[in-house]
Amino acid sequence: MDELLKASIDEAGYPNKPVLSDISIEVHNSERVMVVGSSGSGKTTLLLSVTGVIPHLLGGIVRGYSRIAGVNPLDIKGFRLIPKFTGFVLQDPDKQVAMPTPLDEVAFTLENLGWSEGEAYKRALQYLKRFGLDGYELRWVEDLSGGQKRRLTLAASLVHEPILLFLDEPTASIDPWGLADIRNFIRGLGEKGVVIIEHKARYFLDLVDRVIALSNGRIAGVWDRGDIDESVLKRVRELGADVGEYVFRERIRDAGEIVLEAQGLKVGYKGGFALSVEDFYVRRGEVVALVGPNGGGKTTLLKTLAGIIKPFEGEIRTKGTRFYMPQHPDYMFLFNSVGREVEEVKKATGVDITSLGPEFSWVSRVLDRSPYKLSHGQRRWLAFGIAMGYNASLYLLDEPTTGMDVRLYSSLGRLLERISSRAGVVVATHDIRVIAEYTDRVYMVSDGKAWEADREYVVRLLDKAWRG
Amino acid sequence: MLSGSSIRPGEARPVSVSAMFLYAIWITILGVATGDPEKLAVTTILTGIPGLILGYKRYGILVPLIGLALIGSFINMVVLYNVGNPVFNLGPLVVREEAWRRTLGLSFRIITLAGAGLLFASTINPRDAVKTLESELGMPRGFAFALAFALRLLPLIYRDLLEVLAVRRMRGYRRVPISPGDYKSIIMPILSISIERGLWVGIAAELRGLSIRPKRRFKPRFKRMDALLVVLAVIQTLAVIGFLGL
Amino acid sequence: MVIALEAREKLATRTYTGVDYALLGVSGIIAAIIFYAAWYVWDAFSVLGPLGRPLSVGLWFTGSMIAATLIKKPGAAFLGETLGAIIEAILPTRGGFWNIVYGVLQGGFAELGYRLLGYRRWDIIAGALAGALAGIGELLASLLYYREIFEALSDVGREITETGAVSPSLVLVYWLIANMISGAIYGAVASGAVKSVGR
Repeated sequence: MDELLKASIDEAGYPNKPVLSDISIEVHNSERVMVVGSSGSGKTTLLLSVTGVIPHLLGGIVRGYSRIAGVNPLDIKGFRLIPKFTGFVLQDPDKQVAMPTPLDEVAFTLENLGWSEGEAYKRALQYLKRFGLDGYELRWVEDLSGGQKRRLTLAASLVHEPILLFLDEPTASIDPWGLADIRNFIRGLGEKGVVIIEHKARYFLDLVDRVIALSNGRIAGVWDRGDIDESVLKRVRELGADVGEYVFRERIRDAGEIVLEAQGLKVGYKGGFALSVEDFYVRRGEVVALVGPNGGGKTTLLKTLAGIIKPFEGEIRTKGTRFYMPQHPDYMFLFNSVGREVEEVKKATGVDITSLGPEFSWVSRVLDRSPYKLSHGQRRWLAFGIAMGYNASLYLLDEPTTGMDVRLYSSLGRLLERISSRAGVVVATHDIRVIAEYTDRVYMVSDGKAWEADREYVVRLLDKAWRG
Repeated sequence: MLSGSSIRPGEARPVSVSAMFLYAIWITILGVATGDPEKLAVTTILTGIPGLILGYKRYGILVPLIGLALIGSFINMVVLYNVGNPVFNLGPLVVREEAWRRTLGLSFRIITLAGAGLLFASTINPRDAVKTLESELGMPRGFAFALAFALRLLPLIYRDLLEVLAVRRMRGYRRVPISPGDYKSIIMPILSISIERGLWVGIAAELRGLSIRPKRRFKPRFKRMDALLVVLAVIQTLAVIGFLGL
Repeated sequence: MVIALEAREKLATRTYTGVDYALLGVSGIIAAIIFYAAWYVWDAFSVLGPLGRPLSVGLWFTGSMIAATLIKKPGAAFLGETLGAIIEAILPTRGGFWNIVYGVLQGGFAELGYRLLGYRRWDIIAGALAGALAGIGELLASLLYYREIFEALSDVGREITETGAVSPSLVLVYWLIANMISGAIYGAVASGAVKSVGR
């Protein structure tokens, strides 16, 4: 079968809320096709439409035509057949991995397709080994690092040797080293057809045969192998997508007094790994990054600096209060209406979130909504608002750019600027852009150590790491 | 690390998962089938106490708290049934035969049932239990999937919980929940995140063929040591049906 | 990407999809954690004697409302409570495998509540009704488990009743009323909480 995917969607979306119109896409044997566009452009909806998820699982509508290896997934019978020859890797491993152990996760695909228990386990073990997960077969999935979880989803998507693979923003929650794994994975797919949904076009530009750009649910451009060069990035950027580029900014700022200082620190979890930090400090007025591979201990160090985990050895001296912001904004909400949150912050701190500035003016319009029902961006912003209300002298942020689009990202810059004018900021991140554009100093966290490194050197190191 | 796990569920244990599961269920049924303290003494000695000992090693505080239930049953019986010949004195209180017999009956049942459950939980890890429920004991695939995914979520939710508690501390709220409002504010963010995960995991599972998953039913792989469980079960059954003259 | 959970309700089919089973898993583990914690709440309230029951027993019924409010399909209340109870038994708690009997009966009666409303309402009223009915299921399982407390209701114990300090039939009535009140309150709270986070 030469044509692995052929779809032309006249219209797709939810009742009263069309998302896509007039889209066509084709993928042939050994072809890699990348679909790019900003968040909200309809990239993920495209994936969910051509595979039949929208009509069969989400109560939406797809008008049009779709064939995957000749099978029609818009028909329920066809929808049930496509798992046999397609593989899927979704954005966030925590939203994909369903089984408690890596072995069962990989075997799950095979068991569904009718493999016997013995054969399924045998093949699953082979694939776990191939993806560097031997020794982890029967650990809890939660014991794996972010990069390992990502490799687990790759193994599980490939174990039944599908002929067509869908990757939905595989870079979303991954560090540059994990990105290199994904790039190697794509290179090794041979005859298989691949559809990559990705806004950071830059990371896969050299690997794909066709780029399809979406904007507002329509096709805004198609480029084939010969036409794919840096100009594609420019065009995609104009559509409002973050293509993954960064600008290195020299930063010369007047930093104030030291708000946190630690020497001879040993941190870690009981019975787990330990990380030693010889010397660490943050001054008021600067943004300091903690950078390193997933599982290297960035978050543990961040939480230790925040005072949530006690260090094994050494002492942390602080001036003023500290405020830790988790990766996911939902953790920050304690009440079931935005109004209650605003009130409680006012009661605790005297600060009114709605008057924090233009970025927060929308808050007063949604006071009666549940914070959990806001858009991702609004939730992120409300969480920032709450944090800012507390007026700490040190803010510690865990991966603040996860799931942010360009617009949010650029206002994050302004926000960091504002916060750091009065406080010190520590950011745990693997986002090259944040390091290059918004931070003043960098600590590398890797191989059981954390040390201060030259910022420009780190940026170059990370930018080289993802190429693999 | 899951303790005692093996590629094939239960392989690392001397008894099979299915046998252990059936044993725990059977003893539970026996424990409810009778109220005679003499009969329940047999299940208490053969299953209850060993279960509590193993359980205490693994789960600690859970086991001593069973004592509260025993005290509760004693109080209930004294209030409701303190009639008949005196058995013993507890300070000024004369404990009479009916109350005492009933206390013993209920207490032995509580210990037997708790022990049977703890015996299972301390010998079989949850992953093996879940796999076996589907593959050997015929649990429907969708329900088995839900159960396995629930198990996947458990450590993830623990991580969420630590984050939520950290934020509560930062925001100056008590970390040990007391009021229903505290509980709600801890559960809601965790629920919100879990629902989002659930939606996508559900989509991913369908795209990976959950709905064409064949019914997986193998013959239970019994092991030689299972015979010991059978012998124990037979003794306790005979005791409960009165064959042993108790 | 945020997907519209509301649109799922427009799906013509009431058979369960992978999404429903995954949501069942979510509700099952949350319920199991609540059930697990409820034992400690129960013990803490036991100092209040019989008053402890209405304050805590309803926590054990909430698996139904969480699942039903999330999935909004027939059977969800029953499956959610049962799954929560199975996980609780595996975790384990001191109730052992008998938890599953409680779960099945409580879930079955809660399901009846949603059924009485024609499977059209999934709000806090429905949650309260389902929770109150689940209290009957709890009582049925308790009639077996705590047989020694209730036995005087049968002929065997009639003569004892006359000499006992408190009548066991009074215990039965109180037990049921406490269950239903507690179930209604916790059922409403659980439904409301899920409603306000559900996307």
